[in-house]
Amino acid sequence: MTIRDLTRRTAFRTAVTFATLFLILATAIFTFLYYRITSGIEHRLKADLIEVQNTLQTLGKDSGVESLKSIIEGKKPPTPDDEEIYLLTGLDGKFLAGNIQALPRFNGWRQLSWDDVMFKSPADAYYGSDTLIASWAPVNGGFLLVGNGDSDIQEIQDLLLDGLLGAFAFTLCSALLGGAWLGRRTQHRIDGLQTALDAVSRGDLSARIPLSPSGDDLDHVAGQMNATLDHLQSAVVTLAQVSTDIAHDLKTPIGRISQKLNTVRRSASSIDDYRATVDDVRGEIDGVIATFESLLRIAQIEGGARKARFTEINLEDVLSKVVDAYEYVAEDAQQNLTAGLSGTTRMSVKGDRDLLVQLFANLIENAIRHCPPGAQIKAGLANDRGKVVASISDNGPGIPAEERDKVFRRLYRRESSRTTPGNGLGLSLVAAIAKLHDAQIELSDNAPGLRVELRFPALNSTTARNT
Amino acid sequence: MGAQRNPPLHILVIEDDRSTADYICSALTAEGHTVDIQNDGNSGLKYAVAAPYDVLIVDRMLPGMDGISIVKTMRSAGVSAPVLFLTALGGVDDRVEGLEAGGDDYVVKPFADAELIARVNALARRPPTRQEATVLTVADLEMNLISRKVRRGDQEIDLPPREFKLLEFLMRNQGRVMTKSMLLEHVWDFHFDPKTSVVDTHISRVRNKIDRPFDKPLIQTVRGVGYSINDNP
Repeated sequence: MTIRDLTRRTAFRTAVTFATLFLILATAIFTFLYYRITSGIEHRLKADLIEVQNTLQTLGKDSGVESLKSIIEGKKPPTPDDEEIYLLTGLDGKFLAGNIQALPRFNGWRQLSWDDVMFKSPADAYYGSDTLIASWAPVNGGFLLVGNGDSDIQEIQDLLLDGLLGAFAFTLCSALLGGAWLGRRTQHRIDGLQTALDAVSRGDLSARIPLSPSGDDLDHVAGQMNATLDHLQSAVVTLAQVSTDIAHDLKTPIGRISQKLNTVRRSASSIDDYRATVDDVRGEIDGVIATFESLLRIAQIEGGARKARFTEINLEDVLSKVVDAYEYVAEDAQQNLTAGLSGTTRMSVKGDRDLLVQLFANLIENAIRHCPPGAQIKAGLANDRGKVVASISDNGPGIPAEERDKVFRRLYRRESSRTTPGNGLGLSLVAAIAKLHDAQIELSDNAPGLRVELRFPALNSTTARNT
Repeated sequence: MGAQRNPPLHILVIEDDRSTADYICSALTAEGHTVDIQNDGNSGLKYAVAAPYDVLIVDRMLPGMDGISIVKTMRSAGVSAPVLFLTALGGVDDRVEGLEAGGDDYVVKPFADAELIARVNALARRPPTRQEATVLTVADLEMNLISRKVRRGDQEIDLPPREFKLLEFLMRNQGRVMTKSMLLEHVWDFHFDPKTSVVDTHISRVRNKIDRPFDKPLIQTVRGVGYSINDNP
């Protein structure tokens, strides 16, 4: 991992961003504190000096310059521990007394360098602070200077600066280290993601993103990507399967058409022979067209545009209409088709009436076609906690558990039903219509026979999703 | 064909595929109808608005202007002639869209000529406003739509609702062939092709009751096409 790699990582960048933000904030707080504390201390220092100045001014007024002079003459030269300076001059500015020799006069408070101060002897130039603050005040018959080194302020300032720099260094180090650690950890996960996606883009649709045990947001995204890949893989497999099946399914009738045409061309002896073959071939072509029609219909239904036309449909109406249409068909096959409709609860779903009619018609036709004479076929409706559950069940041969998923596949025909008419698209169409309606479809063992159950979403939840 | 001949109609066909247009034209002219063909949407619309036709056959997909737009424009221009849409295979929404645009019926391509002829005849016969008859009769078969009673000669016949509806539809269109898909659409409201013989089983039930016990059968089978009910077969 190079530095360039590191700085590109999201976690690292985030850590550095936060550290920078923290540093800016800390600097702002520090600057505020720095000036507040500095000015506070300076204020106190001045207050002390003003008090001394006032006392000496009062003394000078009451007792005269001479007594002032004698007090000031007693002051020792400044030392690093006590940097107070005093200087008394006459009105002409001449030195009268003081623990320093001279300092030019000025108005108000000033911060001065010790270099400006003329000491009484070079040995006195011994101070702890860099600067001092001082002020001249008029006294009876002269001028008085008081001042003090500002070493207190500097000390505090140094302390604050040290603290700040320390905190800066610590924050920066931990942000960089933490960011690097987080970056490395995240990178490991992103590498897994990248490897999987690279494999997919190279055509390996079985590649999946490894998940970590933490179940964090990255895992969430990875999980969703894996689900998408599952879907994609099965769609591609289905597509390949369907194309093969379509080719195979169309080859058979077209082959038969070709044989019939060849036969009639070779050995027809009358117009009626031709006519019979033409009718035969037309029948075969109708079958091919019906297969195409179903395939296109399924594709269009899966497209989902029809959903825009959904209205509230009473399934009880739909189911009783379909059962009514097929009652005689079942009767002719010596079967018994009955509807077990509750008639009390409202059995409405959001849907497309035409498609729902076709769905139940296909299921009932399927039962009629695959059940032997004497079979009982039942259409039922129930309301399970707001969800409408429609079912078609029979006591015929049923479908073995391992084949139940496959029967919804396009053009899939079970070995046992290869001889019965049909194109293997009836249940695919049922599945497509069910999916369009967000209905879960389930095949189960009716012991004996097959039970197909369709669980529609509750009416209000469908409404909510559509709006 | 067993049904009686229909009055000649003036029909406009708007279809861009020459071979389909010719197929339609020859099927309809053989029935005695006059046919005009237009191959693109814009000129089709001009003809539809300019001349009074008895029936229009309009393809959904056309160069220039699609079938739906033609019919919408035509209807807003006050043309009320019945329209039969030709739609492509698998067009799940075609029926509803066609009806919403002002179409009256539709046929899915590829179609049998008999299906097209039956539907065109049914459309042409549909008068703009029909006085509802209360009693339908075909020969000695009588259906009372108010009391829901059916009798043939002096014999009362009991028909369950679905058989009643089937017979009613045939009687309302007496003398005309009703194809299986027309029966499925109007009697059962099925807009798809069932794999089992829903129509045949019901026709045979109705026949058992209104034809079998009598000398002269009234319901005719038109092989490979559908059924009709007829006074003088």
